[in-house]
Amino acid sequence: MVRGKIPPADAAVENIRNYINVNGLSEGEKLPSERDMCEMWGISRSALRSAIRHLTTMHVLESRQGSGTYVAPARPISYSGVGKVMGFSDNVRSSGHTPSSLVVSQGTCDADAHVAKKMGIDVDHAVFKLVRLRRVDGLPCMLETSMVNTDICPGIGSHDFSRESLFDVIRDGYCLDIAHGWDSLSISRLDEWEADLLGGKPGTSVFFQQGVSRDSDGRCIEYYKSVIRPDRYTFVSLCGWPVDSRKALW
Amino acid sequence: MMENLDTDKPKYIQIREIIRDEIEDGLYEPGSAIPSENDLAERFGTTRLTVRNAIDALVAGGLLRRVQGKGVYVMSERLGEADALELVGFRESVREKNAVPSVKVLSKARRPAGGFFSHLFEIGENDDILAIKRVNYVDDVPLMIERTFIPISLFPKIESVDVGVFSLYQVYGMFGHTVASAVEHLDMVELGTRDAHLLGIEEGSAVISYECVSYDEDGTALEFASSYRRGDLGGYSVTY
Repeated sequence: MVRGKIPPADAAVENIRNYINVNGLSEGEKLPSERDMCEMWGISRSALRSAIRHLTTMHVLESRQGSGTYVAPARPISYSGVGKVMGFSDNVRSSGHTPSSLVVSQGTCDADAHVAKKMGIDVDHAVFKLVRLRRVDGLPCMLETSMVNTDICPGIGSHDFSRESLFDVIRDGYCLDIAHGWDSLSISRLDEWEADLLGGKPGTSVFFQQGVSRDSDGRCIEYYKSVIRPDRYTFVSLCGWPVDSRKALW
Repeated sequence: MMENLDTDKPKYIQIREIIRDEIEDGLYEPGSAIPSENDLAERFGTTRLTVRNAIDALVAGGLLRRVQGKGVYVMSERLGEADALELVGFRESVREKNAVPSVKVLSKARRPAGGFFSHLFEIGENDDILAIKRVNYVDDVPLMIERTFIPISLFPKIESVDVGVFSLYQVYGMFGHTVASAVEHLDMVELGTRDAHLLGIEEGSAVISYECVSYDEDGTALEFASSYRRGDLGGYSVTY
């Protein structure tokens, strides 16, 4: 097989990422000027710019108009495959950030056909519906709707979820272990209501996460769905844990 | 030139033993195809049917694998090990669900590691890596672009393997580096013109991006994979 050169588009992306790693640049630190980077790596201005654009959409870099290119803010990471299920607040805290929640609405309602099917309960069965805006260091990150089975968690509406974590209340208040369930992640676009709360433009692409949590007897505790800003939250899966934690980021 | 076989033993048994010996002698590498039935029939001066009989026994024994429309491939004792560890990462969970996947290899090239990969694989900047770009289809719809980078020093014979037939995890196992752990990052990116075109979506559309580094039991990095998966055709999901 012929030995080729590194394609220019790849060379630009790899050089920038390697520069950040080797120099240990962290969030908010500035990269050299475009001219210096082109000279340093022998790449064209257009290859460099398209690399910066690509790494910006990947939330590695952040361009500031007229000022230059910076390392993007570090995002809280949701880990899966580590053996225990962690809630949003735990994930945010373990990444060194401060979580907070704003209750948008809460109350008991009847399950519609969609929710009933997901939860495996009868239509019109009462569920506790909680809509929260989850924030990281005060910035809106996730809009989460939770539907809790009131058969398993009676009286859950009496908690103040602007102060208490739903995850903690389920685990400690009702002594329920989230032992089973499913979780899925795909892409959605913000509608006007979501955009208003999350501080983005309608039509912006966001993560759409939904799932069901069950206790050790297989009873459905809750159904949840969230729209999540990709610039404020990210996901890592660890298989065959333990992995050397130093290698978890590159 | 035609080879002479004994007349007192069934031909298919003799051919079977010859092919088995040749595999054991390393004439055909694990993961590569043996000659076609036509070529073997000509070589042994017999019919395709007889050759097929000979091969069938080796396929049944697990030494060979018949791949529809492609040929007959040499397996390895180590191949099964790739399945020993349940890797239920983002990408694997996506694959499991897909009933009729197919793979098209767009490019396969040897290139210098450069700075980024020299650090990741702990090799020299001028050491070679293999860069493979593939598109995964499900029922002829392009679903995922996958770019994989592999240090050639760990797998000197990897270039002979048909990566359209074997999963790379199987290939690493064949060469003695069973994948023991993997770290995957899931993100969302907007695709440029070329990749968007490959997936049949509009430029600037958001897709789910997976970046994954896989390690063997010793913690040696075996591959870096970067995948873009269409977000409109469902995403990652896991049941626990």
